[in-house]
Formats: sequence, structure tokens, C-alpha cells
Amino acid sequence: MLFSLVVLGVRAAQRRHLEDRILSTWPETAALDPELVRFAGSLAAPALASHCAGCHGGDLHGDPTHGAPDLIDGEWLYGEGRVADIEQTISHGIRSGDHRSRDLADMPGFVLQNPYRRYRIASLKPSEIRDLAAFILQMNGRLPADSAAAARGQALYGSALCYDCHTASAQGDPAIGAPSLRRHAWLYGAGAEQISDVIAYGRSGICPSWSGRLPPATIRAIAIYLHVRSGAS
Amino acid sequence: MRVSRWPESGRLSLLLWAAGALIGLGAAGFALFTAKGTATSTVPPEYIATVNQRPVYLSDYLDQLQAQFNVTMETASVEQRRKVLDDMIREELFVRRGLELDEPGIDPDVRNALVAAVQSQIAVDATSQTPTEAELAAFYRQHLERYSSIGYLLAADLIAPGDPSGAKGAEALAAAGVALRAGRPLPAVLAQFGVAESGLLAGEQVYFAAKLHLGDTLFEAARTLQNGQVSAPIRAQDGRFHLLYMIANHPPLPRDFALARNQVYGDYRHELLLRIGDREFKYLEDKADIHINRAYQP
Ligand code: HEC
Ligand code: HEC
Repeated sequence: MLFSLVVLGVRAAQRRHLEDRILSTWPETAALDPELVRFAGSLAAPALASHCAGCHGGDLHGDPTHGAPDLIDGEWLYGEGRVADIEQTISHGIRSGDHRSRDLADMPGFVLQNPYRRYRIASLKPSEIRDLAAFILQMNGRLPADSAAAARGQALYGSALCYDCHTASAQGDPAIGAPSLRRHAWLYGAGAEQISDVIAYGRSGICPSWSGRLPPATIRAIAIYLHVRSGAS
Repeated sequence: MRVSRWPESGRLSLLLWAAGALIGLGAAGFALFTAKGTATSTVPPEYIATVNQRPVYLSDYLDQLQAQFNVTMETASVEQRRKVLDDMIREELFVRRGLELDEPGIDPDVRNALVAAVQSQIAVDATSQTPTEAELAAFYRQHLERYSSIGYLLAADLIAPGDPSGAKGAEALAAAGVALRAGRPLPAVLAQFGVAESGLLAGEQVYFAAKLHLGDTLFEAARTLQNGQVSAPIRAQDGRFHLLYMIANHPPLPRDFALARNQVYGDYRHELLLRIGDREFKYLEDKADIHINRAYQP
């Protein structure tokens, strides 16, 4: 009886010690420390399963019905995948309403009467949306049915100001969360229909903010875990 | 009479008490006046430091390392880390000093930055007012046009050039209409019935442009035509008879609330921010004592 109490006490003390260490070590350094990485995994796995899997998928490979990205494929919407980048996203969320959330741009809806809330952008015609989708498919190595459409789409990519956010090379801009359009894992699905729908109606994906809802050590642990897993795969 | 005085032992304890109090006070004073508050254990994990209890954010620090030296935490040297940290602490202290010197009263850049800061504080206030799903749905219904696609149409607007406003013209248009409804191609119909395109509609048109070109009467008729449908001859505001042949009509289509929900949320918050900003301005304006020079009163 006494013995098991002592064991429990020691376990709890060890855990407290590791929690302190995971928070007091530099995030990027902690990700290089095998003991902390192991501990991060033990904290992160249950939290991910109960709080994140619903949107990001049980295997964390994303879910296009929620527009939730793959978290371990090494492609990042925001930042470069540093532990601190990931931690900021988890803590404050994306377009979450938290005032420190990541919220600098949205995907405009180009067939809407006013495509964009933040500044004026001209609407496009449905046929132009189809041309843009053909261009994006072609850029991803999929032969479009109509190569003239893809050529028109390429011209539109410049004139409709897509490059403003997605950059001229379509590699995306991690400062504002504009995804690369040369993706292997699409937020909203890879089909021509899905891509057209995004361009036509726009998107503003939301990831909730977790600061205050999860303990800081758990948030740090998830960030370390995702950083390590995405680097490994 | 006995003068009241302390017994010997009582005096000693009083002395000891006074000495203790003095030492205590001294220690407290020393602690107060030399306090630096730099104990790392009290700095929360998302801060790199606190300066006079104010946070210096870890994320800002990492950005600064990146911006100044193009390094990350792992690749930064001790000197680089120390330099950036020193700079940030120096910045915090200088900012406070700047306020004491009333920089915001003088420097336009400082003023702009402060205005931006108050606006972002408003964003903090808006954070605490999370809308319910019912409020969002109401907002969506109120602004349905925002979540609807823009309307387009491709149509032919025919007139009878021989007698544009008379009965014979109207008859020719009606006959052309019968042929079109029967499936005759447009060029054949134009040739056979002596009718022509008015030129008001050139190619695919956005609804509002079509309305501008056609005028209200014709546009209202055009809007409701299905693909392939033909109107009756209509006398329009220009006095002429017109026949509308709809080739492709894409009326504005509202997106389901469930699909538009995130955008509704963004728009709702955007307007909330504007409202809180206006309220803040009104509140300050009401409290303020503002006089405007009569000569320049707008
Ligand atoms: C309600 C659904 C939802 C839940 C729950 C959710 N997320 Fe997200 N998350 C999203 C969406 C949607 C995005 C993409 C946002 C966008 O479009 O920019 C996202 C993006 C992210 C990103 C950014 C990835 C990148 O490429 O930069 C991270 C990191 C992330 N989520 C982590 C988490 C973690 C950790 C949890 C659980 C603690 C979580 N999310 C829970 C919906 C969710
Ligand atoms: C104002 C910035 C902005 C502009 C301009 C813009 N985009 Fe986007 N785009 C975004 C953002 C931000 C996202 C991510 C949306 C989200 O996270 O929910 C996005 C997402 C997308 C996606 C979905 C990617 C995926 O993984 O599913 C496609 C496709 C796309 N944009 C194409 C375009 C095209 C084509 C244009 C020009 C007609 C364009 N964008 C213009 C910001 C922009």
C-alpha cells in the first residue's frame, strides 16, 4: 500500500519535472532531445485523438470535408514547420476570433458579387473559373481535357491577381496561409469540381484556438510531436 | 506618584522588537529598490522575457532572429541570441521612455502606430463576443446576396428594323418567336423574318450590366426566362418592340448556410469590429472637449 503510494508519488514528480522541462527548454531544442520527444508523444497522442482527430482525421492526414490539412506531411500553410510556428497556430488558431490568431487573408469567392471582404476584387465568369481550374490541374501534371482552357486559365491567373496571394510560381505564401497550388494534399479535394468550387465561392477555414483550453505543456508537446512526425515522413 | 515605566525585561524585548522591525524593513526596502524580476522561472513559456512585468513574446523573438540574422533558434549563435534579446529589452525600455516624453503627441509615425494599436485592441474586445449559430444564421439571411453567385445571361435581343415600333414589326417578332420555339436556329430565323439583333447585348453579360443595357422592363422579362425560352414581343422604354431569346441564364444562386458558414463568421466579425470601433469613437468623442474653429466649420 505504502509502496504503491510512493511509486505513484515518484511518477507524478517525474511527470511534473518533464512538464517543466518541456516548457523551459527552447522549443526547437526540445525537439532534438529524445527523452522530451518521447514525453511529448505521450502527452500529444491522447490530446490529438480527443481534440483534433475529429477535423484532421484519426491518422492526422487531413479531411477535405472540413478543409483540415494533413498535419504530418511536411507541407505547412503557416510558417516553415518550426515548433514555435506550429505552437503559435495551435495556441491561437486560424481565423478563430482569438486576436492573435492567424487571420491575414482568405480565399476570395470569384463568382460572388463582392468576391472579397478585405479589398475590391472583380468577379469572374463561370467559364473563367473552369479555365482556371484546368490550368491548376495542368500545373499538377494532370492533362486537362481542353488545353486551350488551361492556356486561358494561365493568363487569368495573372489578370485575376491570383499571384497576389499564391505567388507568381503558385508555391503559396506561408506568411498569410495561402496554400501552394502545386500540392499533393489538397485542403478541399483534388478534383476539378472541388477546385472550381473553391475558386467560385471562396474559403475561410477555421482552426479553433487552444490556449486556455489545453495546458501549455500539452500544446508544446503537440507542436513538438507534429514537428518530429512531419520531418520523419 | 509612580511614573509609569517599562520593567527591565519589557524594555529589552521592545528593543529587540524594534531592531527586528528595522532589519525587516531594511531587507524589504533593499529587495524593493534592487528588484530586477529577471528570475527565469517566473517567465511564462510563451514569453522570452518580461521587462517591468511586460511580456516580450517568444514568437516575436524568433521572428526577429529570422529577420535580423536569418537564423532559427537552433542555428543562432549565443551572440546572436543575446544581441536580439538585448535589442528587444532595449526597445521595451525606450518605448516606455518615449511615452514619458510624450512622443505620441509629436511624431506622426508614432501616432499612426498607436491608432493601429487601439484598433487591434478593439479586435481583442471583439474576441470575447462570440456569435451563436443562430446569430450567424440570421446574419446570413440578412445578407443573402453576399453569399450568392453573380447572375449571368447570354441572350439575343431581337428587333424588327423595318417597323421597330409598329404593329407590323410586332407581328414579325411574334412569327420569329414561333420559329425559335420550334427549334429553328437563330441565323435562319433572322434571315427569314427580317428581324435583327438590337446590339444591346453583346455576348455573355453580368446581370447588372444587362439591366443597364436593356432597361428595367426588358431585363425583368429576361431574368425569368429559362434556357431556350423566347419571350412575347415586349414594348420597351425605348418605344420599340423587342423579342428576347434566352440562350443561357445563370441566375444568382445563394450558397447553403452550412457551406458559407465560415465566411459568414468572418463577415460577422469584420462588421462587429467596425461597430465596436465606431462605438469607441463615439464614446471618446462624447467625453472629449472638442472645439472647431467657426471659420472652418465644414
Ligand atoms: C473544427 C475543426 C478543427 C479542429 C477541432 C482542429 N483543427 Fe486544426 N485546422 C482546422 C482547419 C480547417 C485548418 C486549416 C485552416 C485554413 O484553412 O487555413 C486547420 C489547420 C491547423 C494547423 C495548421 C497546419 C499548417 O499547415 O500550417 C495546425 C498546426 C492545426 N490545425 C493543429 C490542430 C490541433 C493540434 C488541433 C487539436 C488540438 C486542431 N488543429 C483541431 C480545423 C480544425
Ligand atoms: C487574397 C488572397 C488570395 C487570392 C487573391 C487568391 N487566393 Fe486562393 N487561397 C487563398 C487562401 C488564404 C486559401 C486557403 C483557404 C483556406 O485556408 O480556407 C486559398 C485557397 C485556394 C485553393 C484551394 C487549395 C486547396 O488546397 O484546396 C485554390 C484552388 C485557390 N486558392 C486558387 C486560387 C485562384 C485560381 C486564384 C485567382 C483567381 C486565387 N486562389 C486567388 C488566398 C487567395
